[in-house]
Amino acid sequence: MAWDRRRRRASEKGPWAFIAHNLSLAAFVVLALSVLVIARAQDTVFDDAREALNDAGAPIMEALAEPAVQFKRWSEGVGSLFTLYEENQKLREENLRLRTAQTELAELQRKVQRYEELLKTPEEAPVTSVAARVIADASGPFVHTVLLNAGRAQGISKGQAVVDERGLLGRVIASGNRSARVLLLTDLNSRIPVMIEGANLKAILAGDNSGRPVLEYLPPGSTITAGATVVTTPDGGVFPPGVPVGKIAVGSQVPRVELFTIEGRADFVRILQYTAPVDVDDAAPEPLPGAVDPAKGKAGAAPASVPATPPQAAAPPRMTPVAAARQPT
Amino acid sequence: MFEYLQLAILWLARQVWFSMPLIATVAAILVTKAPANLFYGLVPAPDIALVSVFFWAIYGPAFLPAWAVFALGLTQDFATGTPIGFWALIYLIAYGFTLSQRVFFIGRSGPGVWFGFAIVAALTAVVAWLLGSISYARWVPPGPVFVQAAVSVLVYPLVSRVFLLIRRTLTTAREAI
Repeated sequence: MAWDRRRRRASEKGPWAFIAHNLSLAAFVVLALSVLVIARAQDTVFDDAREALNDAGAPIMEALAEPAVQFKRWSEGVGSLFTLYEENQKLREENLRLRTAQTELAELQRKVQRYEELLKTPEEAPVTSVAARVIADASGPFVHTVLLNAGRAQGISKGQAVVDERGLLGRVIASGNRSARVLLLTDLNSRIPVMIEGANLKAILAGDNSGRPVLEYLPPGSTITAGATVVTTPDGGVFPPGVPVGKIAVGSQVPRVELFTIEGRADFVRILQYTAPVDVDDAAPEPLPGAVDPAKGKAGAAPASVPATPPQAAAPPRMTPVAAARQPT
Repeated sequence: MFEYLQLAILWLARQVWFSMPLIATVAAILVTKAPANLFYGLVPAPDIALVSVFFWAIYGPAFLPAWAVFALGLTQDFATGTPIGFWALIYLIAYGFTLSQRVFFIGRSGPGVWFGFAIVAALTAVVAWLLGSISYARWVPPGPVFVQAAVSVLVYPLVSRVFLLIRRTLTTAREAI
Protein backbone atom coordinates (compact mmCIF):
# COMPACT_ATOMS: atom_id res chain seq x y z
CA MET A 1 0.00 0.00 0.00
CA ALA A 2 2.71 2.43 0.98
CA TRP A 3 4.59 1.46 -2.14
CA ASP A 4 1.47 2.08 -4.18
CA ARG A 5 1.00 5.50 -2.62
CA ARG A 6 4.60 6.40 -3.32
CA ARG A 7 4.09 5.29 -6.89
CA ARG A 8 1.09 7.51 -7.26
CA ARG A 9 2.91 10.44 -5.75
CA ALA A 10 5.78 9.87 -8.15
CA SER A 11 3.42 10.13 -11.09
CA GLU A 12 2.48 13.60 -10.00
CA LYS A 13 6.04 14.82 -10.03
CA GLY A 14 6.20 15.78 -13.69
CA PRO A 15 7.47 14.63 -17.01
CA TRP A 16 10.39 12.55 -15.75
CA ALA A 17 8.19 10.48 -13.50
CA PHE A 18 5.73 10.07 -16.34
CA ILE A 19 8.49 8.76 -18.57
CA ALA A 20 9.69 6.43 -15.82
CA HIS A 21 6.21 4.96 -15.63
CA ASN A 22 5.85 4.60 -19.39
CA LEU A 23 9.26 3.25 -20.29
CA SER A 24 8.04 1.31 -23.32
CA LEU A 25 6.46 4.47 -24.68
CA ALA A 26 9.72 6.36 -24.20
CA ALA A 27 11.64 3.53 -25.87
CA PHE A 28 9.34 3.58 -28.90
CA VAL A 29 9.59 7.38 -29.16
CA VAL A 30 13.39 7.04 -29.28
CA LEU A 31 13.07 4.22 -31.81
CA ALA A 32 10.71 6.22 -34.05
CA LEU A 33 12.97 9.27 -33.88
CA SER A 34 16.07 7.29 -34.79
CA VAL A 35 14.26 5.50 -37.64
CA LEU A 36 13.10 8.89 -38.94
CA VAL A 37 16.62 10.34 -38.76
CA ILE A 38 18.03 7.31 -40.61
CA ALA A 39 15.24 7.47 -43.22
CA ARG A 40 15.94 11.16 -43.86
CA ALA A 41 19.72 10.75 -43.91
CA GLN A 42 19.62 7.79 -46.30
CA ASP A 43 16.54 8.04 -48.50
CA THR A 44 16.90 4.61 -50.05
CA VAL A 45 17.25 2.57 -46.82
CA PHE A 46 13.61 1.54 -46.66
CA ASP A 47 12.93 1.39 -50.39
CA ASP A 48 12.96 -2.40 -50.56
CA ALA A 49 10.65 -2.70 -47.56
CA ARG A 50 8.32 -0.12 -49.09
CA GLU A 51 8.20 -1.94 -52.40
CA ALA A 52 7.62 -5.32 -50.74
CA LEU A 53 4.83 -3.90 -48.57
CA ASN A 54 3.24 -2.10 -51.51
CA ASP A 55 3.26 -5.36 -53.44
CA ALA A 56 1.75 -7.22 -50.49
CA GLY A 57 -0.88 -4.56 -49.97
CA ALA A 58 -1.77 -4.20 -53.65
CA PRO A 59 -4.37 -7.02 -53.75
CA ILE A 60 -6.04 -5.66 -50.59
CA MET A 61 -6.11 -2.13 -51.96
CA GLU A 62 -7.39 -3.42 -55.28
CA ALA A 63 -10.27 -5.17 -53.54
CA LEU A 64 -11.03 -1.99 -51.55
CA ALA A 65 -10.75 0.19 -54.65
CA GLU A 66 -13.49 -1.71 -56.51
CA PRO A 67 -16.48 -0.47 -54.45
CA ALA A 68 -14.81 2.95 -54.07
CA VAL A 69 -14.51 3.33 -57.82
CA GLN A 70 -18.11 2.21 -58.28
CA PHE A 71 -19.16 4.83 -55.75
CA LYS A 72 -17.06 7.48 -57.48
CA ARG A 73 -18.68 6.73 -60.85
CA TRP A 74 -22.13 6.68 -59.30
CA SER A 75 -21.66 9.99 -57.47
CA GLU A 76 -20.28 11.66 -60.58
CA GLY A 77 -23.21 10.27 -62.55
CA VAL A 78 -25.70 11.66 -60.07
CA GLY A 79 -23.94 15.02 -60.15
CA SER A 80 -24.18 15.23 -63.93
CA LEU A 81 -27.86 14.26 -63.92
CA PHE A 82 -28.83 17.77 -62.87
CA THR A 83 -26.80 19.50 -65.54
CA LEU A 84 -27.67 17.11 -68.33
CA TYR A 85 -29.36 19.69 -70.55
CA GLU A 86 -26.63 22.32 -70.23
CA GLU A 87 -23.99 19.68 -70.75
CA ASN A 88 -25.71 18.41 -73.87
CA GLN A 89 -25.91 21.90 -75.27
CA LYS A 90 -22.26 22.53 -74.48
CA LEU A 91 -21.20 19.26 -76.07
CA ARG A 92 -23.15 20.05 -79.24
CA GLU A 93 -21.36 23.38 -79.60
CA GLU A 94 -18.02 21.79 -78.83
CA ASN A 95 -18.68 19.06 -81.36
CA LEU A 96 -19.32 21.64 -84.04
CA ARG A 97 -16.14 23.48 -83.19
CA LEU A 98 -14.10 20.30 -83.08
CA ARG A 99 -15.35 19.16 -86.46
CA THR A 100 -14.02 22.27 -88.15
CA ALA A 101 -10.81 22.00 -86.13
CA GLN A 102 -10.41 18.42 -87.28
CA THR A 103 -10.32 19.32 -90.96
CA GLU A 104 -7.81 22.07 -90.19
CA LEU A 105 -5.75 19.58 -88.23
CA ALA A 106 -5.70 17.06 -91.06
CA GLU A 107 -4.55 19.76 -93.44
CA LEU A 108 -1.83 20.93 -91.06
CA GLN A 109 -0.70 17.35 -90.53
CA ARG A 110 -0.25 16.88 -94.27
CA LYS A 111 1.69 20.14 -94.41
CA VAL A 112 3.97 19.20 -91.53
CA GLN A 113 4.58 15.82 -93.06
CA ARG A 114 5.63 17.43 -96.32
CA TYR A 115 7.93 19.88 -94.56
CA GLU A 116 9.47 17.06 -92.60
CA GLU A 117 10.11 15.14 -95.78
CA LEU A 118 11.69 18.22 -97.33
CA LEU A 119 13.86 18.92 -94.27
CA LYS A 120 14.65 15.21 -93.78
CA THR A 121 13.97 15.38 -90.02
CA PRO A 122 14.55 12.00 -88.37
CA GLU A 123 11.45 10.14 -87.23
CA GLU A 124 10.64 10.41 -83.56
CA ALA A 125 10.74 7.14 -81.68
CA PRO A 126 7.20 6.04 -80.87
CA VAL A 127 6.36 6.15 -77.17
CA THR A 128 4.86 2.90 -75.94
CA SER A 129 2.57 2.82 -72.94
CA VAL A 130 1.14 0.47 -70.34
CA ALA A 131 -2.33 0.88 -68.88
CA ALA A 132 -2.92 0.59 -65.14
CA ARG A 133 -5.47 1.51 -62.57
CA VAL A 134 -5.28 3.77 -59.50
CA ILE A 135 -5.88 1.48 -56.53
CA ALA A 136 -5.07 3.82 -53.66
CA ASP A 137 -5.15 7.56 -53.23
CA ALA A 138 -2.51 8.12 -50.58
CA SER A 139 -2.65 11.89 -50.58
CA GLY A 140 -2.17 13.33 -47.11
CA PRO A 141 -1.22 16.74 -45.78
CA PHE A 142 2.44 16.14 -46.65
CA VAL A 143 2.49 13.78 -49.59
CA HIS A 144 0.49 13.57 -52.80
CA THR A 145 0.90 10.12 -54.30
CA VAL A 146 -1.25 7.38 -55.80
CA LEU A 147 -0.67 3.65 -56.04
CA LEU A 148 -1.04 1.77 -59.34
CA ASN A 149 -1.76 -1.91 -59.88
CA ALA A 150 1.12 -2.45 -62.31
CA GLY A 151 4.84 -2.72 -61.63
CA ARG A 152 8.13 -4.09 -62.90
CA ALA A 153 6.33 -7.16 -64.27
CA GLN A 154 4.56 -4.82 -66.70
CA GLY A 155 7.76 -2.96 -67.53
CA ILE A 156 7.20 0.03 -65.26
CA SER A 157 10.28 1.63 -63.78
CA LYS A 158 11.21 4.69 -61.77
CA GLY A 159 10.94 8.03 -63.55
CA GLN A 160 8.34 7.17 -66.19
CA ALA A 161 5.59 9.68 -66.89
CA VAL A 162 2.01 8.84 -65.91
CA VAL A 163 -0.86 10.39 -67.87
CA ASP A 164 -4.62 10.07 -67.91
CA GLU A 165 -6.98 11.13 -70.68
CA ARG A 166 -6.64 14.80 -69.70
CA GLY A 167 -2.87 15.16 -69.39
CA LEU A 168 0.18 14.57 -67.22
CA LEU A 169 -0.57 13.26 -63.74
CA GLY A 170 2.91 12.68 -62.32
CA ARG A 171 5.83 10.32 -62.46
CA VAL A 172 6.67 6.91 -61.04
CA ILE A 173 8.88 7.20 -57.96
CA ALA A 174 8.97 3.56 -56.88
CA SER A 175 7.96 0.37 -58.60
CA GLY A 176 7.52 -2.98 -56.95
CA ASN A 177 6.87 -6.17 -58.82
CA ARG A 178 3.21 -5.49 -59.42
CA SER A 179 2.56 -2.10 -57.88
CA ALA A 180 3.98 1.35 -58.47
CA ARG A 181 3.81 4.63 -56.61
CA VAL A 182 3.23 7.83 -58.56
CA LEU A 183 4.37 11.22 -57.28
CA LEU A 184 1.67 13.68 -58.36
CA LEU A 185 2.54 17.08 -59.82
CA THR A 186 1.18 18.88 -56.75
CA ASP A 187 3.51 17.10 -54.31
CA LEU A 188 6.07 19.17 -52.45
CA ASN A 189 8.90 17.14 -53.98
CA SER A 190 7.67 17.17 -57.57
CA ARG A 191 9.95 19.00 -60.06
CA ILE A 192 9.24 18.63 -63.75
CA PRO A 193 10.83 20.32 -66.78
CA VAL A 194 8.13 22.02 -68.84
CA MET A 195 7.76 24.39 -71.75
CA ILE A 196 5.22 27.15 -72.30
CA GLU A 197 3.78 26.69 -75.75
CA GLY A 198 3.76 29.68 -78.03
CA ALA A 199 6.31 31.58 -75.96
CA ASN A 200 8.79 28.67 -76.15
CA LEU A 201 9.93 29.40 -72.62
CA LYS A 202 11.33 26.62 -70.49
CA ALA A 203 10.75 26.34 -66.76
CA ILE A 204 10.51 23.90 -63.90
CA LEU A 205 7.05 23.01 -62.64
CA ALA A 206 7.37 22.74 -58.87
CA GLY A 207 4.64 21.33 -56.63
CA ASP A 208 3.99 22.97 -53.27
CA ASN A 209 1.11 20.85 -51.89
CA SER A 210 -1.41 23.36 -53.21
CA GLY A 211 -3.72 22.55 -56.11
CA ARG A 212 -1.74 24.69 -58.54
CA PRO A 213 2.02 24.09 -58.92
CA VAL A 214 4.44 26.99 -59.42
CA LEU A 215 6.59 27.73 -62.46
CA GLU A 216 10.18 28.19 -61.30
CA TYR A 217 13.40 29.23 -63.04
CA LEU A 218 11.70 31.17 -65.81
CA PRO A 219 14.25 33.21 -67.75
CA PRO A 220 14.45 36.69 -66.15
CA GLY A 221 12.39 39.31 -67.89
CA SER A 222 10.24 36.83 -69.74
CA THR A 223 6.56 37.61 -70.13
CA ILE A 224 3.95 34.90 -69.98
CA THR A 225 0.28 35.18 -70.79
CA ALA A 226 -2.45 33.61 -68.69
CA GLY A 227 -4.13 30.74 -70.45
CA ALA A 228 -1.05 29.62 -72.40
CA THR A 229 -0.65 25.84 -72.53
CA VAL A 230 2.17 24.19 -70.61
CA VAL A 231 3.62 20.94 -71.96
CA THR A 232 6.50 18.63 -70.99
CA THR A 233 9.92 18.85 -72.58
CA PRO A 234 12.32 15.97 -73.14
CA ASP A 235 14.98 17.93 -71.17
CA GLY A 236 16.50 15.60 -68.63
CA GLY A 237 15.60 12.61 -70.74
CA VAL A 238 12.65 11.57 -68.58
CA PHE A 239 9.48 12.74 -70.29
CA PRO A 240 8.44 12.52 -73.91
CA PRO A 241 7.96 15.96 -75.48
CA GLY A 242 4.59 17.65 -75.76
CA VAL A 243 2.52 15.91 -73.09
CA PRO A 244 -0.12 18.47 -72.02
CA VAL A 245 0.27 19.56 -68.39
CA GLY A 246 -1.98 22.56 -67.82
CA LYS A 247 -2.68 26.22 -68.49
CA ILE A 248 -1.07 29.27 -66.92
CA ALA A 249 -3.45 30.36 -64.15
CA VAL A 250 -5.00 33.80 -64.11
CA GLY A 251 -4.33 36.30 -61.39
CA SER A 252 -1.68 35.09 -59.02
CA GLN A 253 1.50 36.69 -57.73
CA VAL A 254 3.85 33.89 -58.77
CA PRO A 255 3.21 32.14 -62.09
CA ARG A 256 1.06 29.12 -61.32
CA VAL A 257 -0.31 26.37 -63.54
CA GLU A 258 -3.91 25.17 -63.59
CA LEU A 259 -3.50 21.44 -64.21
CA PHE A 260 -5.56 19.59 -66.81
CA THR A 261 -5.80 16.50 -64.62
CA ILE A 262 -8.01 16.33 -61.55
CA GLU A 263 -6.16 14.24 -58.99
CA GLY A 264 -9.10 12.64 -57.26
CA ARG A 265 -10.74 11.69 -60.54
CA ALA A 266 -7.81 9.69 -61.93
CA ASP A 267 -8.98 6.14 -62.52
CA PHE A 268 -7.36 4.43 -65.47
CA VAL A 269 -3.96 5.83 -66.38
CA ARG A 270 -1.21 5.18 -68.89
CA ILE A 271 2.47 4.92 -68.05
CA LEU A 272 4.60 6.24 -70.91
CA GLN A 273 7.74 4.26 -71.60
CA TYR A 274 9.99 6.81 -73.16
CA THR A 275 13.69 6.37 -73.68
CA ALA A 276 15.59 9.51 -74.43
CA PRO A 277 17.41 9.46 -77.77
CA VAL A 278 20.50 10.87 -76.05
CA ASP A 279 22.47 9.68 -73.06
CA VAL A 280 21.47 12.10 -70.38
CA ASP A 281 23.93 12.03 -67.48
CA ASP A 282 23.76 8.53 -66.07
CA ALA A 283 20.22 7.68 -67.07
CA ALA A 284 19.62 4.36 -65.34
CA PRO A 285 20.33 1.46 -67.68
CA GLU A 286 17.46 -0.59 -66.25
CA PRO A 287 14.57 1.09 -68.09
CA LEU A 288 15.79 -0.20 -71.45
CA PRO A 289 15.13 -3.94 -71.09
CA GLY A 290 12.01 -3.27 -69.02
CA ALA A 291 10.68 -0.87 -71.61
CA VAL A 292 11.42 -3.21 -74.49
CA ASP A 293 9.67 -6.33 -73.23
CA PRO A 294 6.03 -5.25 -73.43
CA ALA A 295 6.70 -3.42 -76.68
CA LYS A 296 7.75 -6.64 -78.38
CA GLY A 297 4.18 -7.40 -79.23
CA LYS A 298 3.79 -4.09 -81.00
CA ALA A 299 5.11 -3.88 -84.52
CA GLY A 300 8.29 -1.97 -85.03
CA ALA A 301 8.55 -0.45 -81.57
CA ALA A 302 11.06 -2.86 -80.07
CA PRO A 303 13.73 -2.94 -82.78
CA ALA A 304 13.87 0.82 -82.75
CA SER A 305 14.90 1.06 -79.12
CA VAL A 306 17.01 -2.08 -78.68
CA PRO A 307 20.36 -1.08 -80.17
CA ALA A 308 22.18 1.50 -78.12
CA THR A 309 24.18 3.15 -80.88
CA PRO A 310 21.69 4.26 -83.57
CA PRO A 311 19.71 6.54 -81.28
CA GLN A 312 22.97 8.15 -80.18
CA ALA A 313 23.95 8.70 -83.77
CA ALA A 314 20.60 10.29 -84.40
CA ALA A 315 20.96 12.52 -81.39
CA PRO A 316 22.35 15.79 -82.75
CA PRO A 317 19.74 16.31 -85.49
CA ARG A 318 17.02 15.21 -83.06
CA MET A 319 17.89 17.98 -80.65
CA THR A 320 18.36 20.75 -83.17
CA PRO A 321 14.69 21.48 -83.94
CA VAL A 322 14.12 22.19 -80.28
CA ALA A 323 17.14 24.46 -80.03
CA ALA A 324 16.18 26.21 -83.24
CA ALA A 325 12.68 26.75 -82.02
CA ARG A 326 14.02 28.35 -78.89
CA GLN A 327 16.24 30.87 -80.68
CA PRO A 328 13.67 33.43 -81.88
CA THR A 329 12.54 34.32 -78.35
CA MET B 1 -1.48 -33.53 -28.19
CA PHE B 2 -4.92 -32.23 -29.03
CA GLU B 3 -5.06 -30.35 -25.78
CA TYR B 4 -1.90 -28.43 -26.68
CA LEU B 5 -3.26 -27.65 -30.10
CA GLN B 6 -6.49 -26.47 -28.55
CA LEU B 7 -4.55 -24.28 -26.12
CA ALA B 8 -2.42 -22.85 -28.91
CA ILE B 9 -5.49 -22.02 -31.00
CA LEU B 10 -7.19 -20.48 -27.98
CA TRP B 11 -4.09 -18.42 -27.21
CA LEU B 12 -3.86 -17.24 -30.80
CA ALA B 13 -7.55 -16.38 -30.94
CA ARG B 14 -7.19 -14.39 -27.75
CA GLN B 15 -4.20 -12.49 -29.08
CA VAL B 16 -6.12 -11.61 -32.23
CA TRP B 17 -9.18 -10.71 -30.19
CA PHE B 18 -7.29 -8.38 -27.91
CA SER B 19 -5.53 -6.67 -30.79
CA MET B 20 -8.93 -5.80 -32.28
CA PRO B 21 -8.30 -2.04 -31.73
CA LEU B 22 -5.07 -2.26 -33.74
CA ILE B 23 -6.61 -4.40 -36.49
CA ALA B 24 -9.68 -2.17 -36.75
CA THR B 25 -7.54 0.96 -37.00
CA VAL B 26 -5.22 -0.52 -39.63
CA ALA B 27 -8.33 -1.50 -41.62
CA ALA B 28 -9.66 2.05 -41.25
CA ILE B 29 -6.34 3.51 -42.49
CA LEU B 30 -6.54 1.30 -45.59
CA VAL B 31 -10.20 2.11 -46.24
CA THR B 32 -9.55 5.87 -46.11
CA LYS B 33 -6.91 5.36 -48.81
CA ALA B 34 -9.42 3.89 -51.28
CA PRO B 35 -9.78 6.21 -54.30
CA ALA B 36 -13.43 7.18 -53.69
CA ASN B 37 -12.92 10.91 -54.37
CA LEU B 38 -15.48 11.88 -51.71
CA PHE B 39 -16.68 15.49 -51.96
CA TYR B 40 -14.70 15.85 -55.20
CA GLY B 41 -11.42 15.73 -53.31
CA LEU B 42 -12.07 19.09 -51.66
CA VAL B 43 -12.24 17.58 -48.17
CA PRO B 44 -9.30 15.42 -47.08
CA ALA B 45 -9.86 12.02 -45.47
CA PRO B 46 -9.93 12.11 -41.66
CA ASP B 47 -6.95 10.80 -39.70
CA ILE B 48 -8.75 7.87 -38.07
CA ALA B 49 -5.47 6.59 -36.61
CA LEU B 50 -5.23 9.76 -34.50
CA VAL B 51 -8.80 9.29 -33.26
CA SER B 52 -7.89 5.72 -32.34
CA VAL B 53 -4.69 6.73 -30.56
CA PHE B 54 -6.58 9.36 -28.53
CA PHE B 55 -9.53 7.09 -27.75
CA TRP B 56 -7.50 4.13 -26.56
CA ALA B 57 -5.06 6.30 -24.57
CA ILE B 58 -8.06 7.35 -22.49
CA TYR B 59 -10.37 4.34 -22.46
CA GLY B 60 -7.88 1.48 -22.43
CA PRO B 61 -4.17 1.98 -23.05
CA ALA B 62 -3.70 -1.75 -22.37
CA PHE B 63 -5.61 -2.55 -25.56
CA LEU B 64 -3.45 -0.24 -27.66
CA PRO B 65 0.02 -0.21 -26.04
CA ALA B 66 2.97 1.85 -27.26
CA TRP B 67 4.16 -0.83 -29.70
CA ALA B 68 0.71 -0.87 -31.35
CA VAL B 69 0.77 2.94 -31.70
CA PHE B 70 4.22 2.60 -33.27
CA ALA B 71 2.85 -0.06 -35.65
CA LEU B 72 -0.05 2.25 -36.59
CA GLY B 73 2.40 5.04 -37.38
CA LEU B 74 4.51 2.73 -39.54
CA THR B 75 1.38 1.59 -41.40
CA GLN B 76 0.52 5.22 -42.09
CA ASP B 77 4.11 5.92 -43.23
CA PHE B 78 4.18 2.99 -45.61
CA ALA B 79 0.69 3.71 -46.92
CA THR B 80 1.17 7.42 -47.60
CA GLY B 81 4.85 7.55 -48.49
CA THR B 82 6.05 9.88 -45.76
CA PRO B 83 9.57 9.16 -44.39
CA ILE B 84 9.47 6.00 -42.26
CA GLY B 85 9.05 6.92 -38.60
CA PHE B 86 7.33 10.24 -39.33
CA TRP B 87 3.75 9.41 -38.33
CA ALA B 88 5.01 6.84 -35.84
CA LEU B 89 6.74 9.61 -33.90
CA ILE B 90 3.75 11.97 -34.15
CA TYR B 91 1.26 9.34 -32.98
CA LEU B 92 3.52 8.34 -30.09
CA ILE B 93 3.77 11.97 -28.99
CA ALA B 94 -0.03 12.37 -29.22
CA TYR B 95 -0.46 9.10 -27.31
CA GLY B 96 1.97 10.13 -24.56
CA PHE B 97 0.37 13.56 -24.24
CA THR B 98 -3.14 12.13 -23.99
CA LEU B 99 -1.94 9.51 -21.51
CA SER B 100 -0.41 12.20 -19.30
CA GLN B 101 -3.70 14.16 -19.35
CA ARG B 102 -5.81 11.04 -18.84
CA VAL B 103 -7.03 12.04 -15.39
CA PHE B 104 -8.79 15.07 -16.85
CA PHE B 105 -10.70 12.99 -19.38
CA ILE B 106 -11.84 10.01 -17.33
CA GLY B 107 -15.40 10.40 -16.15
CA ARG B 108 -16.12 13.30 -18.46
CA SER B 109 -19.19 13.37 -20.69
CA GLY B 110 -19.08 12.92 -24.48
CA PRO B 111 -18.82 16.61 -25.48
CA GLY B 112 -16.08 17.17 -22.90
CA VAL B 113 -13.94 14.42 -24.38
CA TRP B 114 -14.74 15.66 -27.87
CA PHE B 115 -13.44 19.10 -26.89
CA GLY B 116 -10.35 17.38 -25.46
CA PHE B 117 -9.80 15.64 -28.76
CA ALA B 118 -10.09 18.96 -30.60
CA ILE B 119 -7.24 20.31 -28.46
CA VAL B 120 -5.12 17.19 -28.92
CA ALA B 121 -5.78 17.21 -32.70
CA ALA B 122 -4.78 20.88 -32.94
CA LEU B 123 -1.58 20.30 -30.93
CA THR B 124 -0.80 17.22 -33.02
CA ALA B 125 -1.27 19.28 -36.18
CA VAL B 126 1.23 21.85 -34.90
CA VAL B 127 3.74 19.09 -34.05
CA ALA B 128 3.14 17.39 -37.44
CA TRP B 129 3.60 20.66 -39.30
CA LEU B 130 6.85 21.44 -37.44
CA LEU B 131 8.19 17.92 -37.88
CA GLY B 132 7.15 17.97 -41.55
CA SER B 133 8.93 21.26 -42.08
CA ILE B 134 12.05 19.92 -40.39
CA SER B 135 12.12 16.63 -42.26
CA TYR B 136 11.42 18.23 -45.65
CA ALA B 137 13.85 21.07 -44.84
CA ARG B 138 11.41 23.81 -45.88
CA TRP B 139 8.22 25.41 -44.59
CA VAL B 140 5.42 23.04 -45.48
CA PRO B 141 2.11 24.85 -46.14
CA PRO B 142 0.22 24.50 -42.85
CA GLY B 143 -3.27 24.63 -44.40
CA PRO B 144 -3.73 20.95 -45.34
CA VAL B 145 -2.48 19.75 -41.94
CA PHE B 146 -5.01 21.82 -40.02
CA VAL B 147 -7.86 21.09 -42.43
CA GLN B 148 -7.26 17.37 -41.94
CA ALA B 149 -7.22 17.86 -38.17
CA ALA B 150 -10.56 19.70 -38.40
CA VAL B 151 -12.08 16.86 -40.44
CA SER B 152 -10.81 14.34 -37.85
CA VAL B 153 -12.46 16.39 -35.08
CA LEU B 154 -15.73 16.43 -37.05
CA VAL B 155 -15.85 12.66 -37.46
CA TYR B 156 -14.71 11.96 -33.87
CA PRO B 157 -18.17 11.30 -32.36
CA LEU B 158 -18.97 8.74 -35.06
CA VAL B 159 -15.62 6.93 -35.01
CA SER B 160 -15.38 6.94 -31.21
CA ARG B 161 -18.80 5.27 -31.06
CA VAL B 162 -17.46 2.35 -33.10
CA PHE B 163 -14.39 2.12 -30.86
CA LEU B 164 -16.64 2.26 -27.80
CA LEU B 165 -18.50 -0.75 -29.17
CA ILE B 166 -15.21 -2.63 -29.53
CA ARG B 167 -14.18 -1.49 -26.05
CA ARG B 168 -17.38 -2.88 -24.49
CA THR B 169 -17.04 -6.23 -26.26
CA LEU B 170 -13.43 -6.48 -25.14
CA THR B 171 -14.31 -5.80 -21.50
CA THR B 172 -17.10 -8.34 -21.38
CA ALA B 173 -14.81 -10.86 -23.07
CA ARG B 174 -12.10 -10.26 -20.51
CA GLU B 175 -14.55 -10.69 -17.64
CA ALA B 176 -15.77 -13.92 -19.17
CA ILE B 177 -12.28 -15.45 -19.28
